[in-house]
Amino acid sequence: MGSFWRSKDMSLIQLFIQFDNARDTLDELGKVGAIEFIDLNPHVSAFHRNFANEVKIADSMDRQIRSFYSFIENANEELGEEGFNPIIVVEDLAYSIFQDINEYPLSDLQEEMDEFEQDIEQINMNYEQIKQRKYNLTEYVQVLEISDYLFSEEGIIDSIQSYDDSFEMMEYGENIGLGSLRYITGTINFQKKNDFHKICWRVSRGNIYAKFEEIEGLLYDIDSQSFIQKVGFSLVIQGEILEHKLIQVCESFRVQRHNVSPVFEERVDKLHTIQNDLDDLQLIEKQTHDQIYHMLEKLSHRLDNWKYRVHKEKGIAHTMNKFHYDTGDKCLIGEGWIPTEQLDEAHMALDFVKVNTGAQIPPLLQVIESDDTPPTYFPTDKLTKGFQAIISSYGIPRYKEINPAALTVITFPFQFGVMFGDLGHGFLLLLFALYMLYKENDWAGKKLNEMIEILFSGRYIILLMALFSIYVGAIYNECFSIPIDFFGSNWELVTGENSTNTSYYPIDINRAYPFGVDPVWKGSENELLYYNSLKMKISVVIGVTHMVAGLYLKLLNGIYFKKVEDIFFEFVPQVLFLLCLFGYLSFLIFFKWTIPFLQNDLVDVNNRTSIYDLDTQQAPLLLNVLIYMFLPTSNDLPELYPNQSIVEWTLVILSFICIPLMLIPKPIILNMQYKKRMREGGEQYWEEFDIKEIIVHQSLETIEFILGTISHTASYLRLWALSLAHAELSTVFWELAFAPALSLGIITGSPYLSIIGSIVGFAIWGSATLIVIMSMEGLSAFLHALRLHWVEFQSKFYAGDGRKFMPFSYTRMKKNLEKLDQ
Amino acid sequence: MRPGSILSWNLNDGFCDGLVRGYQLGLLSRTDYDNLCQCERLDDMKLHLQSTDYGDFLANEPSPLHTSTIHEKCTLKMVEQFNYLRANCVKPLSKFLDYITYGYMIDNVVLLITGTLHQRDPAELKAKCHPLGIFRAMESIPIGQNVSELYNTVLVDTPLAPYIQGCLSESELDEMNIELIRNTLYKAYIEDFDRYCTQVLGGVTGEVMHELLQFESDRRSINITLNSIGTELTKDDRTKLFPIIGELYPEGTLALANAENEDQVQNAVSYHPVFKRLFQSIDEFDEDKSLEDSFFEYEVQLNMKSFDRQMGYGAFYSYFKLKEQEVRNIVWIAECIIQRQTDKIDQYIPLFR
Repeated sequence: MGSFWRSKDMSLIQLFIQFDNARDTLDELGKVGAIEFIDLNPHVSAFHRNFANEVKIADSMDRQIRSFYSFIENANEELGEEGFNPIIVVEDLAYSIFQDINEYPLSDLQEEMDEFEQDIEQINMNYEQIKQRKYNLTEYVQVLEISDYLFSEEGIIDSIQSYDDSFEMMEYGENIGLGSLRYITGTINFQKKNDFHKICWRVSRGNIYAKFEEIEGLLYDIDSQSFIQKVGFSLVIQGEILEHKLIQVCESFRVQRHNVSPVFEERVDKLHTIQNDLDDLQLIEKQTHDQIYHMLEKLSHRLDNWKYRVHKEKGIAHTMNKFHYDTGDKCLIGEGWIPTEQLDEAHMALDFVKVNTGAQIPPLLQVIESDDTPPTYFPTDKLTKGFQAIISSYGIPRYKEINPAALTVITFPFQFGVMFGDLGHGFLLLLFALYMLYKENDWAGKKLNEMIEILFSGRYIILLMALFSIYVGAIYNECFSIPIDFFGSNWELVTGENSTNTSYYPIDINRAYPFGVDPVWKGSENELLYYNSLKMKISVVIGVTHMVAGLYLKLLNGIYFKKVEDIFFEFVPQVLFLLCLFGYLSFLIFFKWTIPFLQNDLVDVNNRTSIYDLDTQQAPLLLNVLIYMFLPTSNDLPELYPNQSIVEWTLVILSFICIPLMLIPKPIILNMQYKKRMREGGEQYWEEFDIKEIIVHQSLETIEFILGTISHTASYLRLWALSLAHAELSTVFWELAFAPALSLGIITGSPYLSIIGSIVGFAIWGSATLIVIMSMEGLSAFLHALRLHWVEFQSKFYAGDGRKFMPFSYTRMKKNLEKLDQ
Repeated sequence: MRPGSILSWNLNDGFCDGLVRGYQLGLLSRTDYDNLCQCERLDDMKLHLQSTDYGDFLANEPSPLHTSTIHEKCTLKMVEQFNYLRANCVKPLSKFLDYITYGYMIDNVVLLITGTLHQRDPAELKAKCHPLGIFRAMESIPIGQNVSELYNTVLVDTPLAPYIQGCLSESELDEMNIELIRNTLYKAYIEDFDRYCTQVLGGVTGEVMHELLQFESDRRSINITLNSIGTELTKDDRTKLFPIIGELYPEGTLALANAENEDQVQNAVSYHPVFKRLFQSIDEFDEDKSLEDSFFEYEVQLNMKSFDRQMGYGAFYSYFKLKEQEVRNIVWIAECIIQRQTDKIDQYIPLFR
């Protein structure tokens, strides 16, 4: 708890390392993962740094690794079609990120990776060639298969007859190659077919016979390197010049030309030879597949290891770039922040380097004094992580400032519960949270749906929210908006003398309902009146408590940082101001609850006809009491206790005194402190100090606090507003969807209708409950609780201008990489 | 509704406008240029560009890098942005953006014709084409032996068809012809673009674009004159190539048509304060600076200015002009680094005020 309340103690350290063992030292420190190194060369651009070269090497190795991954991915896809099991990159069990970098020198790694890259390139090239040849041949087969149609006689004859009559029909009749007719066959991208056709037609000025036939299935296209829909075509033309031109057209359209003989027998022969070629190719392809598979298998066992290794090198190089490099002494000097309690660990790591490398000048680490503000470091666990994230997204706590997350762990779910209080809904939420906890080990570190991911990371928040909404729901006595009579209601329905006039009467005036709200209030005529009054008052009490707690944290901060002026001229007047006005209101709320305001002191239980009612004349509205505190002359409200106006008058005067106390003394004290420092510091001393700015700042703070006290208290009324909306919504869904559907069967007396009614009614009610109440209302209550913490609570004490501690750590690096992979 | 109407601007073009202004903020800053100029190798440039809006666009390129790779990838980045805008816009911005691509189409057509004339491989030529200027059936340009054939087989389907009608001829293609085609096409394109901006779109778009296109056309007029000095191009033919929307038209172009050496060119435009200044600037300062550069510099200034106007399309045109200039700058710096010409490295065109 200690380190969650205030951030860890940090020390600034200076590190001297000989260049020779710099990498080993940083490797060890990366394993410890406790030091955030400060960039000592912030103005040097990335490529002018001393070790830019190392970064570049690591970058290029990173590129290789990415290409390996994409190779595996592509190969998996292709081999998968051939029936191979997909290859998964496995974690190298013999290796961990904590292994020494020395065990496997970088140069060896580089060599091995280069070798692999070359092998892969080689094998890929061969494979590509084989594939292209295969695709080409399959395409040829396809064209041959449709060639019967492309050369179908009637088509040709038609076209020939449309030519000049002087055309030598004889030669065609003898079947020796269509005479001076020339023909081009091939395949073309389906999408380009029309353009191609048009251009051919234009080039030949219409003297062309073109026939297109769609080829079933997709064929490989070399240009786009993908499978596309293609069409086979045959062009019949006359004359050499035109043929030449059309071939040019074909080339410019990147058409795959396949020579197909118009003679049927030749085509059959050709088909046979190609089939044989294809069979041979298939064999070679299979061998290549095996080869690739073996290579992949080998690769998959190392890749994971390599990836982390390269990132380690990258991290080390980047860190070394942050150091001062003394080229003369070959010595690196770095500075960094470390949690003080981990200093020993760092020292041990350095000793280890000294022993291991036998360095003559061991790395030296020493703590130095500094006025700089250290980074803020809170170690978190599964539970606190979510709450810390809620706080940190508003602002990282200042170093050593009280961490609002500590209180938020309970107050946040509690305020959510106040707004979402319902036994049933809370129970559903609890089931959901428990399910996520049950799946915790399965889901951790896995890629989830984006929405689920968010919920999963906040699973402990949801768990607590669920528990609190059950608790508050029990107080409100609402389960899906229906009250449960746990202890026996204290009221009884009595029919008066006039039988139309029925009303509730208390059974025992001295007994209170033991826990929460008496179920009788639900559905009564003055239900809303009662609930609103109760919830509003609760909201104000919770709000004032929450804000006072915030101010109390300010006091603790003031004591911790030894800021007397903050305690006496900020905390004291502020807390007085708040307590005099709204603290008093809270007191009145409780006080009023203790007064029965009965007209008859004793109720005659037997004589229930006697008028038994509140004496509203005697019960003033608390809001009016508060307002008339400031207008004492026109106050004609009944007093709740003797001398009330004197007490109130004192409180008002006291609160007004607080205003100048907040406004005036602090700037004066700050100015005096500054002058004192100037005197002590001598002539050389200089610091930025502008009294005007401080006065303006202080007056703004004061105005903000005074206006804020009122508006923030009012803001806590959202607790009531949301819980009212929640209760009303669930009542509406129950009474307008489920209840009528259920009563359908009862009214008509038909068992079928009652079954159908309950099914339909439940479907409507259930989905409305899940969608509107659980999701939307839940989100809304979450956001309002968030706002109450960020604005109303934290504005009382929280600076939130800290900087997060980001140590050079392999564990952290690994986590980031895993996140990236997903 | 016309662009520039306050009522509908955000509805139709607000998103794209926001994007393009965001893109403009992502242009390299003075410090970025300073850092790039200090690089010693292309890998250093890659390292630095990583910290800019270019991001890791070179991350998967193996070392050593080549200038051509950098150029290609930078252009690709720009094309990505263009295509994103084009995919997210509605009429009439879509039409406006299409107009921007026509300029690149003309360049591609000319590139393909020249390439075929020198018997280059079509695939290689296609790779060299600017990705923004690719159009359907572009592959078949090499088939045409003369302009008419080109028009009849390929270009008739493209948006360039109306532009080419001014230079239809049956004569064989040669270097001279190609230049004529390029300039005729460009003249027609600029005039058409200007007509579209001022008459169809109007408003702020018209004002901003008219100024930009005027400068563009004047610059072309001067360049045509300078390049045609000493060639067999007749005065009449030369006059035909001058776009008629510029500020130099008609007095300036008339004088340009008669100019026979560089001094006469300078005299011809010296009545125009801007061009007078631009010509003087190369006389006064160092010899390294060319007229081309001072034109570019002035163009950059003009393009920066169009971001000051709201609710018009000028910013879109200007952004891509600026981005193009930035790519040229990066390539220039990269070339200087490769050729170890460190003294010339800071002769890029500054894209900042």
